[in-house]
Amino acid sequence: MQSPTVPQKTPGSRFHAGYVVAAAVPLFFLLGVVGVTGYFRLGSETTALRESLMDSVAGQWTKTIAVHVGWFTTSLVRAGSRLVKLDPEPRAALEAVRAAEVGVYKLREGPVPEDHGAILGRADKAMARRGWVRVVGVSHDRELVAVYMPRKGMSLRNMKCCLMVFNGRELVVASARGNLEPLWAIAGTHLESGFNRRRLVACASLGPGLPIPREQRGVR
Amino acid sequence: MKCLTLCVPGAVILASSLAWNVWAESPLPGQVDFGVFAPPGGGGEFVEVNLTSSLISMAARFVEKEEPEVAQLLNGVQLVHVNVVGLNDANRSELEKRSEKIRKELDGKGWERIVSVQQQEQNVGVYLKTLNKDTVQGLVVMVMDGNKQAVFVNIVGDIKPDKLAVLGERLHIDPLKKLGHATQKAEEGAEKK
Repeated sequence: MQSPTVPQKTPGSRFHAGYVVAAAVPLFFLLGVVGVTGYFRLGSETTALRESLMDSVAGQWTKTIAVHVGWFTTSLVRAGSRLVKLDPEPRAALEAVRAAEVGVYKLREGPVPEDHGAILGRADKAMARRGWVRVVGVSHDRELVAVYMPRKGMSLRNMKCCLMVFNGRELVVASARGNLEPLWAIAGTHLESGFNRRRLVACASLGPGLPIPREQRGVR
Repeated sequence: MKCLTLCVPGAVILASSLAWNVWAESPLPGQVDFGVFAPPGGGGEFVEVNLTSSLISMAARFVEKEEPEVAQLLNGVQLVHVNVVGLNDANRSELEKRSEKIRKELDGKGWERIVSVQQQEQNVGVYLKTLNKDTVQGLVVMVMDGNKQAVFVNIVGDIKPDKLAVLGERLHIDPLKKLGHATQKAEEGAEKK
């Protein structure tokens, strides 16, 4: 009778495993640090927008807050939300968001900038280099708002936008990426139910004998 | 010889990609370049809206079930460009000159002036670019509203002036909505005359 062969660990393989563990631990640590700090780092487009404004405005800036929620966190939230009973509207909103970030900065010193044209011009250039185009620009008194979107590759499934709001002292930059299809489906359902309800009421007004469901009676 | 076999396809690819870029950047038939507008100094009003076909078609998808005629209108539009610039002493003459220059250009390029109203301090011009009797390629509206503001609108696509207000309402562009009503009034006034 043969005894079962036990694989013998050679000193070489133990040495190799030790290397893997030694490499994996700092790697996981590094990934953890990158992951955690990632919550406080803005993406490249938002950073470019912020930098373009800060370059156009003389003065000292301080960061109030910068938060970034990426695909990993939004996926976790989406997965978690499936375990909870939610109304279709908030669920659709959660399903729609793929990433979002916001940064708030304050101008501590320096004169209040009034040349919004220069600010917009610089921001347009910075965003155009990344293939983004300004869709909205509004300036009134000290307030300036600019909204940017990618020049190409936009669809309901892949919607991106980046915005900047500046009131002379405070700057807010934000961006969001999402899939609008769930929201669109919800909007479609509401439109359809609204359409059916109106059609029902219209039928009822034409033919007095037609029964109207109780919940629809007050609707016109 | 080997160098030649590598260089020729490379040159062809480079040339075709350049040609593609030039074609991709070339303006649409009803598109008008108003130039760059800057917000007026002293906190004056400035609104700029620039909607491309992908955004407009998304808006069309949102309404296609309930309002197919509005969706059809939106699907016919490829570009919406709206500029509202508050007038002050610093920019008034430049904007007036620019407006005049654009008017001349449009007249020279075969645009049809369908409304032209000059009363008191208001100067309204509505231009249409048509391919044939039924197909509109673009629309331009320019308004110099006395000392208040200058409005420049260019819509590329199949759009009639009487649909401007609907378009403004559906795309939530307030200046376009107001302009639509003003253009309708101007058109009615011109018809009465």
